[in-house]
Amino acid sequence: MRVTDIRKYLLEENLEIRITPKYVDIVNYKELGHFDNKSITIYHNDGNVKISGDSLTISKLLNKEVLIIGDIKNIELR
Amino acid sequence: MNTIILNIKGKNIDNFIYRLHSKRIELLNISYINRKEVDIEIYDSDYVLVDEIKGTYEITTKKYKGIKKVKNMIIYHKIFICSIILGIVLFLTLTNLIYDVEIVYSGNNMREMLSDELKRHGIKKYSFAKSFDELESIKNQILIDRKDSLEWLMIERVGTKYIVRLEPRELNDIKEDNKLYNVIVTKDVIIKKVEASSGEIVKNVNDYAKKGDVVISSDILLYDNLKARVSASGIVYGETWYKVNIEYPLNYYEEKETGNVKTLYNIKFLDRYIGFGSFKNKKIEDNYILKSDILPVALNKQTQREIEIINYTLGYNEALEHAKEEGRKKMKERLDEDEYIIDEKSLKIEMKDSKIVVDMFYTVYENVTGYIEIEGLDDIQQ
Repeated sequence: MRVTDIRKYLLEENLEIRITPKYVDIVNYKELGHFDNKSITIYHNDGNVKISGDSLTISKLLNKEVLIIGDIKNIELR
Repeated sequence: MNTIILNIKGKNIDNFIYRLHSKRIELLNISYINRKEVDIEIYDSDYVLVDEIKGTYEITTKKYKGIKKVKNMIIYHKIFICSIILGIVLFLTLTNLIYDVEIVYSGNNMREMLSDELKRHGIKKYSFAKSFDELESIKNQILIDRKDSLEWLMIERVGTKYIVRLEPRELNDIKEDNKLYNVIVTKDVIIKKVEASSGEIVKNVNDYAKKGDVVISSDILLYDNLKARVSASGIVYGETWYKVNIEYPLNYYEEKETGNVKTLYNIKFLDRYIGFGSFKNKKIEDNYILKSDILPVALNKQTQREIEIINYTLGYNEALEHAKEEGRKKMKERLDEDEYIIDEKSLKIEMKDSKIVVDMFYTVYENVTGYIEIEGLDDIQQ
């Protein structure tokens, strides 16, 4: 494994979305768009992700990671 | 990393969160209480920025996390913590101070002499208590310095007091003045041997004599008539008795050098050594090659002597034997070369906590010669 590969492995740069029934975790996003308890829009380098549902809240909002919890009904990749 | 939990109240909380996000302030945890109130966790370093942009929002610090929490707690409770520390220091100081030194002996001269000796060695009122080893060392030194006047000495710490017991040395010097003396016994004894160089022997071997009884008299009698008076002199040996209390620990611990010696290099950090090839059990001698005045690190050349540690719990019989041996040793310290232990007997044996306590009874062959001046000069009756 080359050093650059190790670096890529350790410091991921691509957008990643982890979906569970209770939360959605998005890593390496660019910007937070509109958000309320029905829908949240997250912008990334190649578009945006729209999460829809009920009682949506942002539980964690870091520079590269956002954690959204609530009753998630729909995730749209645009 | 230190973090703070803030409570934020305001009309449009989402707007404030967006504002924080636009300033690149990381929100580690967002917890909505209601539409107008939220708890957020941020890094301590971001607090100043949050405070700057708060505007009309009401921000209250709820909780600290990390080292700052501990620091704040210490500052908040500083008076209490200082009181506890002061209390502990005061307690340790007061319990390790000696408030009295009691010398158990009736004679004033001896008490004054011993008191001066003790003060010279730092054993006095309002001084700090010394360790057992220090006390033993002081006791031995005083016995050496005052071997002419002190037979035996014991310094015992009882709470915040020292109790000093002593036995004066009775010198069997022959009086060389014009006074008349009788030879007496200095203790209750059974007479075992009498050597009279002048005077008349009035007690026989195996006679019982109480302390102060005359054994060699200055009166020279012939058919119950006093013919002459001389100053009696001689030596009296008798059988005396002692009771000694001995405590001996049940745990036997001994460090024995095996003779193996090694020199190696290692790094010393605080009180630990980092290196290879050390003996498992050892005595060490450090020689620093490089040492830092600021950091607790040093490059060290170390000489190691391997030791064998013998550590085991003594059985009842073994402990008793050791205790008896200790008692014999203590007894022999009090005796001169011409004195010896005739017999020994253990009166009471008790196991207490982690030690064995034995009351030993010794029968000792001892020089009990004493002199008492009698009135009158040489007087010959016809």
